[in-house]
Formats: sequence, structure tokens, C-alpha cells
Amino acid sequence: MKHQRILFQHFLHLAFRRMVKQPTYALINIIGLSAGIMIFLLIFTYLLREYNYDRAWTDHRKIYRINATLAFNGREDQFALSSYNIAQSMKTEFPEIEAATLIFRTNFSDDRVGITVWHEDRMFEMPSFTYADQDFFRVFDYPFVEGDPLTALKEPRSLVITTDIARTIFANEPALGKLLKINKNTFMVTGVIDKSRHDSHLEFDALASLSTYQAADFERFRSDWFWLVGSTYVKFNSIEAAENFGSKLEWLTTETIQPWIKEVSVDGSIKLSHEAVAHIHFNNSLQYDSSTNSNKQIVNLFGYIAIFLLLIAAINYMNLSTARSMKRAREIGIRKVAGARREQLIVQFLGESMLLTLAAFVIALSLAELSLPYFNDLIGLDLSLSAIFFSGSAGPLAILIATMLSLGLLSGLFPAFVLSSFSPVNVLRAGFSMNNKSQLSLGNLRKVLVVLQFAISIGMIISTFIVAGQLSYLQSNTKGIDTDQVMVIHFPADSALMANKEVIRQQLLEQPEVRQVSASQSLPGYRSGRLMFFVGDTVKPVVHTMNIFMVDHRFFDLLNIKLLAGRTFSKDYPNDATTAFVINKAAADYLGYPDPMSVEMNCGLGVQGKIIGVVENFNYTSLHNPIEPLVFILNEKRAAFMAVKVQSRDISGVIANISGIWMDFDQKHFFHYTFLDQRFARQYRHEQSMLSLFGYFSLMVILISCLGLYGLSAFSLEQRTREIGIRKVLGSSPKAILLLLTKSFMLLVLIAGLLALPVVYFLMDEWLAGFAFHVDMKPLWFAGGLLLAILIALVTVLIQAIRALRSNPVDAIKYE
Amino acid sequence: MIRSEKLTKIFRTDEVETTALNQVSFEIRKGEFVAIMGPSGCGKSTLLNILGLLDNPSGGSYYFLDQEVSKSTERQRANLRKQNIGFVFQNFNLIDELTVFENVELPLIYLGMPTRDRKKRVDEVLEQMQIAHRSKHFPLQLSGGQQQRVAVARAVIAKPALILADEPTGNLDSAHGEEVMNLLNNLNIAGTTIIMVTHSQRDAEYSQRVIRLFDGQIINENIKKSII
Repeated sequence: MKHQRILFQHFLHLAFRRMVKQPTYALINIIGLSAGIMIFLLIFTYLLREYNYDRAWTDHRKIYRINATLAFNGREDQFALSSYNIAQSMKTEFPEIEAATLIFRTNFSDDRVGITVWHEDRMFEMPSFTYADQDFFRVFDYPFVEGDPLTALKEPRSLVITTDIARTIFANEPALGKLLKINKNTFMVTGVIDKSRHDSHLEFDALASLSTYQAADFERFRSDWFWLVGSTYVKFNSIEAAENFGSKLEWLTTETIQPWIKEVSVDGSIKLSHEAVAHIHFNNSLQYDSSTNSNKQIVNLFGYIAIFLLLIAAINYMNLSTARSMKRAREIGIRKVAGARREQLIVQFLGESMLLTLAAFVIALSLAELSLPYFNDLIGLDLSLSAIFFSGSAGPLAILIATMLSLGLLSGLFPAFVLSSFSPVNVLRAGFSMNNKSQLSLGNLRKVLVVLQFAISIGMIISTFIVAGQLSYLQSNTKGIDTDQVMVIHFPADSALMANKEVIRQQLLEQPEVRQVSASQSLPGYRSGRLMFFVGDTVKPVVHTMNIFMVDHRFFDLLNIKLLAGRTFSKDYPNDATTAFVINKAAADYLGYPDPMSVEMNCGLGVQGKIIGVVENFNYTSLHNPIEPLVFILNEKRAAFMAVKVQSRDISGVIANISGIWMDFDQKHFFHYTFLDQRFARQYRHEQSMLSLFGYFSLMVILISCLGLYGLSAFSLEQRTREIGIRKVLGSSPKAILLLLTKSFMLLVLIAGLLALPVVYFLMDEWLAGFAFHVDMKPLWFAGGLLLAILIALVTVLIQAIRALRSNPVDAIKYE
Repeated sequence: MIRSEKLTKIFRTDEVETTALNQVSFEIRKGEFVAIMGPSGCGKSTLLNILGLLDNPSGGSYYFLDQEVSKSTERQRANLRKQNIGFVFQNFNLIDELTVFENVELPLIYLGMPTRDRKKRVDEVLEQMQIAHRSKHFPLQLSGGQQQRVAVARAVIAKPALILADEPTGNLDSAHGEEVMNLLNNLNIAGTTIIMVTHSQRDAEYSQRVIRLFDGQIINENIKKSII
């Protein structure tokens, strides 16, 4: 044991000195490894977050959401929602359910416009707000800072807020019992919860008691099994009960729901399913699901990138160590002569790589801490490295330690075995050079590893180009509408503005820069509602569900939407609001009538009449999805937005003018506006952050690879110093020598490129297939990526080659 | 101390088979100073490697301290080596990254000697080799003669019974060469057995016996001094 300690001290001491004495070599390794580890730490934190959504609840395996699938006319839609009656059935019909709760669809969950909250005479803003019944906290056990979870949502006009909101409004004072005015209701704060420790798909900053609704409202909710008011969550009393619940849902459907459907004679059906709460985050197949949901493929992709980066850094270490093996061969021989056993040498070399990995880890940790805010900015999250170290479970830390150990081992193992195998008889001879065979095989291995590195680098560069291409396609392609210079002002629901809408409109139009103003309930780029339509024969109509836009008659003109047949809504026809529908081309195709203009329709919003016009398809959700059937109805009584088409170079001046006018009419809300094109771009924020990350990571990958190439070419040139000298003496031109020196490296990069191209093509083709609209991959992107990598590699090698070329041939020849 | 019987060493590459040692038999007693001479490629260094337990012979027997070792494992040889044999090379073979002190200390580390004892022993030997003032320097900061003195210091540090020297003066000018030979001679007088491969007749003068090799065979053994 004591012997081991003596050896360990000796090696540690020596390893440090080696780092100091050969800084280039140590720097290349440390920079490469710490960059790799830094990215790994960031991505690891991100993966931990993504994979732990909705897993912090007590017994999260017993918590499920009930999802409804509606089918009309062979068209199925899966929703993350269910109806009021479904929630009530869960509460009463099944003994295996311990608790069930209904939470309404979160208002503004996608738009993040902000809801104005009044406390006494002060105005605040809160991102989102919704209603839930009193059992909510029996299913989701958020820790209560103030109040009682069992009674908090019992009484009408009760409100539970998060600690963040409580701090904003009440600072450090207790919030319990305080009054808050939201829209027309005054709520009393009955609880303050800490949401910070539960990453969840649930989105709300305040929860009001469902009992705030009037008896008449509940009467309406109860009347319709198809009306998907919100999400129902249940907590089972055992995991087995949860797993076997499918048949019970079927029973509910056949025994209760289907008879009702028959009774109201609707040609449709409901299917129910239950989904584990921890499964929700990566499920993107449901409509109206949480906006925090992620794409598992993309999340995993970043995991692969992290591993690639570590691999590339480890390859640098392996390559540089084996390239330097010539230099260290003598040391190994001497140590063996002095009595070192092979195991001791293996331990020494592994110790060196471990030490270097440790040093790199310490640096990487500080770098990761420093860069985390920027990373958070890019991906729109608030990650913290403490998730790895203080997560409360040993898992993440164990993974981290295992990864670092593997990295150290992976880097050091191969050099350790190669170097320790040298025989002292060979290496201690005066004119020693490694025998051709082992040198050749080591050299070949290095080549293979360099090819691997550059294949990854080139693959990432090309992928970045493709993601960029697709993104710019998405952002520039709004298909069929003119979103340019359209300012969107958000209309608060309870506002006095509504009454003054026409006056405001006139005042806005008086501005010389304002071309058109339209107030509507719906706009492209925002979520649309969906409604059941009874189409055709009034005696036996066919039920269709289609998306709906509630607009005014200026909507089509403002967005420059092309009319294909008939007319749009007009002031000349005063009954349009109750008797007319306009549909898009997709709806016309979907309904399938040879002449849609003659078709009668009827919908629940009190509109019954004919289709009066068909407009060209335009893209109103993101281009991830194909353009779906859409029905417009005229409704000037409700508006969520005022769209203002402007024409001006001085946009900020226009904004100031418009906000001035707005404020004259409303001092009770914050003034919120955006531009329609920006709003459209926002739909691609996942892609945007993916692009930025891809860009940064590819940069990192190519830099680390080149760092390795730089070191490797240095050693290769050192070995060829004599050859270069002889060639120079024999009169070779500098150009010929440069060509000779760079050729072999460039060949490797080229091979890497040829390997990478098909793989990238295949993978990115798959990614693009996830979009209903996408660009075709351009050969230029592939050629460009390859060329860029070759160029960067060439510069790296040339720096070394030129240095070698400048040396005096006489020194070189004497070199032995 | 050392006895070889019909030692044979054959090197094989893909196409060629070379017999480096051909049935070499001899004996070296404790306290002897023996020089091995012969032209380049005659097998001198091969013989020295086998005697120094760096390599195993292809055939024949080798008795080291009355123990047959010709078929021993690398681990066994390493153990015998570190306790009994010191090496001096023509090109010094010092580790550039280690100081003089650390180079000399190396064998003691592998013997597991505690730090304090190590320091005392290294200081002693450096003093003895008259290189103590350079103990914190690195090999490349020293002259060739100084480097070889360090190498000799390293060879004797573990108090080996046998020192093997492979052309110890080959890279030195005559003045420094003589210095090194005197060191070896003094060690021999103090009781250490020395086997030295050399091209130099002058160096061979220091030895008591010369073994001449030619094409892997002993062609002549002459004893110049009587052994007590």
C-alpha cells in the first residue's frame, strides 16, 4: 500500500510537470476535453430537465390524464382534453380512483399575452390563469407555502397563486386573504404554492376555483359529452388499477356515452384513453396539449451531440498520445529497466489521462456555469447545474461520474496499453525507431480516428445548413397572406375598449401610416377554435368538425387573402353575421361538394345559412401541419385582436402614436402588441433555438477536431523534418513540399466527407419529413459543408507545414 | 555469479532469420570486471540484453545467481532486475522531464523505498559521483560526461551486485570517458561485478578479462589480470 502511494506521488508530480513543460500538448487536450465536457454538462442538465417532467409528484405512476378522441365522418381528432361529464364520471363511478380533477384549458397558454390583475389600486400582469376544481391538489401535491390544499379551491372566487406571483404583487407580505381582481371577478387568495420543484406540463400562474362558475354554466357543461372544456386527471389507488383501466373506459363509453350520442342523434363517436402523466411531455400527437411539450427525437439528438463531442475530445487525446509515443518510448524503456512492471506503467498512463480529464472537468464546470445563462436564453428554459449535483437522487451524479471515468479511461486506455507494451531492448538502442509494423498500424488507427472526427464535424456543419435552410423557408413562407407590417394589438376581454371599438378604429385610420384596421377573434399564427358543423340536408345533416375563425368584414382585405369564388362578408348584407359562412379551399375540398356555394350549414354559435364564398388556402398554423379546413363566420361583437396594417419606415413612431391613442381609451390594462410576421416566426422558436444550438455545437465540434489535427500534424511534421530537409537540399520547391505535407491530411478529410454525406442525407431527410412543408435538400449545402471543413482543416495543417518549411535544412538533416 | 550454457538467440522477421548468438557458453564470477568486444553486429548487445534479463534467449540455459532464468516471465525478470542489476547505456538514457535527482531516484521508487531513505541514499550517491551540485538540473542542461555520471549513479543506486554497461564511453570525449571508466573501476574495486560491452581497446584495459565475439560466437577469451 505504501509502495503504491510512493508511486502515485511520483506519477502525479511528473504528470503536472509534463503539463507545464509541454503546454501545447496539454493545452490541446485540456481545451478539447473541457469544451467537450462543458457542452456535455449543459446538455446533460437539459436532458435531466426534459426527462423529469411530471415525475416529481408523489406516486406519479398512479396519476393519469383522460384523453378524448372524437370521430366524425371517419375523421378522428385526438385531444388532450375531455368533457365536464367525463370528469364527473371519474369522480363518482370508479372505486379504484382515489381522486379526480378537472382543470380548464389555460387561457392564453400559447399566446403568453398576459392577464391584467388588480390589487387595490395597483395593476399587475400574470402570464396565465385558469380554473380547476377543489380536488386538484389531491392529485397534484404542490407544496403550499400558505393556505390549505384540501380547501383552497372549494369556495367560489377562491384563487391559488404561485410564489412568483405572490412575490410580485405582495412582496414579502402574506398573500392569504388578499383580494385580486381579474377581469370581472374579484378573487380571494386562498393559497400560495411553490411550483419551482415540479417541472410539469401544467401551465398556470394562478388557479381559480371552478365553483366560481354559475349553476347555469354547469348546466350547459353537463348537457354535452362532446364539449371538451378542459383536462381531467385521475389518481388511482394502485399502479395495477391504473394499468387495467382501459376496459373501464370502454365500459363507460358503451354504457353511458354511446346511448347519449344516440339520443341526440349525432353521427359521431367518442373514444377515451388514459395517459400516464409522465408520458405527456414527449407526446405530441394530441391537440390542445401543453405548449411545454418537447420532441423526444430532438432532445435525444442533443444527447448524441454531447456524446459526439466527448468522443472527439477523447480521440484528440488518443491520437496525440500515440503520436507522441515515439518520444515517450525511451522513458518507458528506462522505467522498465529501473524495475517498473507493465501494470505499473498502465496505471501511470491511465492516471495521466484521468488527471487531465479531472483538470478539464474543473475548468468545464466553471465554463458551464458561466455560459448557462446564454444557453438558457437560446433554449428558453431556466436550467441550473444544481440539477446534477443537488437533485435529491444519486442518479444524475452517478451518471456524471461514470461518464467522466469512461472519458478518462477511453482516452487513456489505448495509449496505456500500446505504450506499456514497448520492449526496453528495442527502445533503448541508440538509433531507435519503432518497427514499421507497429508504427504503421498505429498510424492507420490515427487516420481512422481522424476520419471519424471529421465525419462527425462535416455531418454537423451540413445539418446546420439544412436546418437553417428549412427555418428560413418556414419564416419567409406565410403562404397566401400578407403579414408584412401588420401590427397586432391584444384586446383585453373585459375592456371598455369593446364599446369604443369603432371610435378607436376611426382614430387609428386617421393616422397617415395606417392603411386598414380589423378587429377579430382569430388571427393566423394564433390558436383557432374548433367547432362542430352540421352540413347539407337540414333533415339529416352530416357532422363535420372544422377549425373556425371569427372575423370582421375587413379581415380578408387587411391580410390580402385571395377570393376564389363568391364573396366575403360585407356591410351590404346585414344578415351575414347569422346566415353566412366563408370557407377556405381546404374546407371546400374536404366537404367535397361540386359547388360548395349552394351548401347549407349550421353551427352551434347561432349561425345558420349558406356558404357565400371560398378563399384561397393560407397558412394559419405553423408549417409543421398541412393547411386544414377552415370556416369563417362574421362576428363583430367579440374581438381578441385588433390588426392594424401600417405602411411606414418609421415603425417606432407608428407604435408610439398607436399606443397613445389606445391608452386614451384604456388605462386599466397593459398595452400589448406584436407584429404578425414576428408572431409567425415565433411558432418556429423550437427550430430557431435548435438552429442556434446546432450552429454553436458544430462550431465547437470542428474547433476541437481542428485542435487535434493541429497537434497531430505538428507531430507528423516533426517526424518528417529530415525528409523535408533532404527534399529541400535536393531542390524541391516550397509549393511541392507544402502539397506533399498537406495532401495526406486533406485526403482523410475528404474520405470523412464522403462517409458523412449519405448519413446526413438520410437523417435530415427524416427530420424534414416531420414538416408538412419543407425545402428540398440542396447539393450546395452538402458541397458547402464539405468545402468548409476542408478549408478549415487545410488552414490548420498549413500553419504547421509553413513552419516546417521555414526551418533550416541543415538542422533538419543533422536531426537524428 | 553468471553462467551461460549454449545460449542461442535467433531473430525472425517475415523473410529473414538471423542467428545473433550461437551456442555461447561462459561463466562470470562475483567481483569480476569483464569486457565484451567485437565488431558491429557480432551479437554483443544481444548478449548484454540477455545477461541483463531484458530479453530471453531462444535456446540454451542461463543461470543468474545460481537460478535458471532463461524461461522466466517478464514479471520475474523485472523483479530480479530491479534488485540485482544496474544498467549504463551509451546514450545515457535519462528521462528528460526528470531532474538529475529524480532520474537517480527512479529505481528506488520501484523498489518502494520510503521518501526519507530515498533522499539520503540519492544524496550519497550523487556526492560519490561528484554531481550533487547539479541535482536539481534537467539532463539536457548537463554535458555528456555529467549525464553519464548521472546514469552511473542511477545504475548503482539500488546497490546492485551486477552492473551492465553498453559502450559507456561511446558518446563521450576521451577526458570524460576516462572519468566514467574510473567510476566503474572504483565500483569494481568496491566489489561490484561489471560486464561492459565496448569498441574501445582503452576501455577494455580496465577489465580483468575480455570476451571476444564474432558472428554470434566466442572466438577468444583472455584473462589479463588475476582474480582474487
